[in-house]
Amino acid sequence: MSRLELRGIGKQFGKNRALDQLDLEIGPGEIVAMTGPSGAGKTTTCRLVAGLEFPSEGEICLDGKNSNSLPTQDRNVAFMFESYALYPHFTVLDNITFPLRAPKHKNRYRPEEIQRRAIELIQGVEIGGLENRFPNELSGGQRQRVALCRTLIQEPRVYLLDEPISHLDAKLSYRLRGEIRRRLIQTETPTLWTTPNALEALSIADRVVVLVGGHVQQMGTPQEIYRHPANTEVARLVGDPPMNLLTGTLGKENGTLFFHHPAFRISLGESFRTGLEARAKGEKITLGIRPTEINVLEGLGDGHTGEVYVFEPFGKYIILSVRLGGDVIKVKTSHLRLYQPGEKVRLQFEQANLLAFDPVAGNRVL
Amino acid sequence: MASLSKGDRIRELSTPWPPANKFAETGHPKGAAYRLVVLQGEIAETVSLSILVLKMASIRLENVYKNYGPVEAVKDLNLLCEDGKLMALLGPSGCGKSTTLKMIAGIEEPSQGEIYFDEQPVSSLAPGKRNIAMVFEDYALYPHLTVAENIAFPLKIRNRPRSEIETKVNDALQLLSMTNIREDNVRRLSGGAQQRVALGRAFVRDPELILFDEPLSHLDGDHKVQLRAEIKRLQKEKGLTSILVTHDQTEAIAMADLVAVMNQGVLNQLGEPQELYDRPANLFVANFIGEPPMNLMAGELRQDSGRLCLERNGLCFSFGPEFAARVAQMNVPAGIVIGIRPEHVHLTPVGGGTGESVDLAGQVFCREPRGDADIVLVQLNGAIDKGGPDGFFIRDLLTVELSETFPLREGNPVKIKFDESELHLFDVQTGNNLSAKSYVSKRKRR
Repeated sequence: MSRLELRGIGKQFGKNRALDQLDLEIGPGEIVAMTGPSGAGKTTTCRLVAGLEFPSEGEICLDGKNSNSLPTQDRNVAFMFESYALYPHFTVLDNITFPLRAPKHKNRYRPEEIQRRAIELIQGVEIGGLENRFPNELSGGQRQRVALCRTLIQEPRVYLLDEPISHLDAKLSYRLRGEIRRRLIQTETPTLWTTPNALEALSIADRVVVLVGGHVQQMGTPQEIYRHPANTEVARLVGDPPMNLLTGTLGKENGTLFFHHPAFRISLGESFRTGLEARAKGEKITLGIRPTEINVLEGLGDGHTGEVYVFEPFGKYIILSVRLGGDVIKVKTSHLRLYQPGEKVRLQFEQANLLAFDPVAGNRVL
Repeated sequence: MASLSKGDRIRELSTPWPPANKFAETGHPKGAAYRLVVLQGEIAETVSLSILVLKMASIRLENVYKNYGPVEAVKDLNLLCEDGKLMALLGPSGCGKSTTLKMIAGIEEPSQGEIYFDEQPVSSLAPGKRNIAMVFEDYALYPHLTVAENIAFPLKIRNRPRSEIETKVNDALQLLSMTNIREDNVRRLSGGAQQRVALGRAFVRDPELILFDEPLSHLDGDHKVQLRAEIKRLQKEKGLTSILVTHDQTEAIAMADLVAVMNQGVLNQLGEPQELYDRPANLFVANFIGEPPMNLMAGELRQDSGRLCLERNGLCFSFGPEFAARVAQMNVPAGIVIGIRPEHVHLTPVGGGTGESVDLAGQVFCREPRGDADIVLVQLNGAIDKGGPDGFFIRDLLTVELSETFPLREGNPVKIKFDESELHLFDVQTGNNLSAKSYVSKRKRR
């Protein structure tokens, strides 16, 4: 049972601020996913925990002890590098068993035990039969799974998985991530898992940290991140497709609050009245509307008429891109029908889950 | 002005006017208008004739084989992509899709069979003579040129007049919203922007055919989704016949009019995206199309005290009368595979509700939130942990998609119900979908 704590971590590379004020605690058996675009500081965080870099400020605690100056080899972290870093002259099996055969574990594991663990992992990640191959005889996805096995075979104080399944095809990564997650939870070891794919983060983690440009945008459970993104940066990253963000102005008529978009206007319900009343009439606001919370209506009647820009069928649902004013709005619906580009459709926005953001600062105001 | 009738003989034919690109402005994707002088009996009449599809480019492959030594990369391939359509060649690596693309482009020659453009055989035609544009996975831009220079390149080497190059490049830049970066060096652009430049370069030549070779695989999430839509839009707007090679089923079904699913050099199914999803021809297609993939369970069908059951590893699922009646009408072998998509499985917490048709229970193995829908893996009660990569249905886990927020946690017991009208039956020997023919899509289509 171990625990990882980061307190006020910052990292400066010359003039470049890679990481700023990161506070994070990961408990035993907990998986925290860190997501964000490239350059967010995800790998830097892993390297700091591993002791390959040292923080410019703040404190790294392993099991409650300040470990800032602890050398890498004494930290006992299992770090899976994004670049795999396999030994080219070792076979798959030797690469995987290497950490347990290292001098510091001398006599700790019996050879049969090492073999048993390796084989179990190899089968778990579906690379059985490749045990005696060398890394240069493997595809990228196979190498990544070897690196994953080499990491998971260890019994460290912390697992650091830097984009562990990014090179697997969609089917395989889907099959494996449930397996990996179960395994990690059983070890009662904290795990930091980085990924540029926000959906992967939501599906494997207990908690998610969204990092952009070295700054934590939001930290919370997958549900919180999805339901209540803290700002437009988070809203843009999460969801498939992500939330529509439409900017317009607030207006008030006969006591009703309206959102005026160049192409349409919608009346805002009670919850908005109390939340946005303080904002002046004519002030700009950004509404967040999820693609799943827009209805496409047939025939004549209410709703806002737009023009189909792109139609993409996915089998169980379709995604429509609809041009409305200057915006292209994405709609995801399970009402399966063929649409033609240029076809007129009417959109109706569901009120219940609308979000509002400050158009300048980007933070969520409602 | 006279009109044409059968038996008229053409005496003169004007050059087409307006030119094809102007013609497009009249609302037709391709074509031209001609003025003809025809002889109607003895009388010469001037007739205006609009030919909508003038520059046709349909592609047909007939019994095409490609062998590399003893390896049969493509076997007896027959395909037809009609003018203006986008056809995807989809399959795992090594399925023969790239070889097929190379044969269409003229980079490789078929070992047997023939390829036709507009019903003209082209196998012996050199790549340069085929009027094909290609968009590659790694963009293949000229790194020392700017955005505008890259797009202008194919026109420059064809010695097009300066004014034409100017107009076409400007149009392309506008179409791809890149006017503001026209003078930027392409090296400094993101992957997504570089691929847009490559697209502009392909479209600017007015090719008869565009071949896309994994155009999105180097792009990350957001850019991929955007460009996917953008390519589809451009292709439709320009009415260009296109072939897309990809291993990503999402990409293929989102973009293509027609998808050819290939495996080990053999075409497994050719159909519209929705058709592949609703009526996969065999186990391979069923497993390949859809994310998460269809649940597939091998077993034996038998009658058990008047009810139809599937027996598998000592487990027995029984089905309702409607499904039993459907099976009775088919010629079903004993050894079959049952397929059900994750969104057609319903879960109820044990204690609430009753499973009507299938007496099947299990417990939640893990739950993955995905935002608008959660994926729940359910371990079936009494299931034997077989392990091993049988590929389809590992460890007797059932994948279920839940769109409602359900208070289910790991370890919770659940009852399982299948939407039986959505069940597929596959022959375990041949892999063929036995229910495909009798399956009636309930979905509204136009």
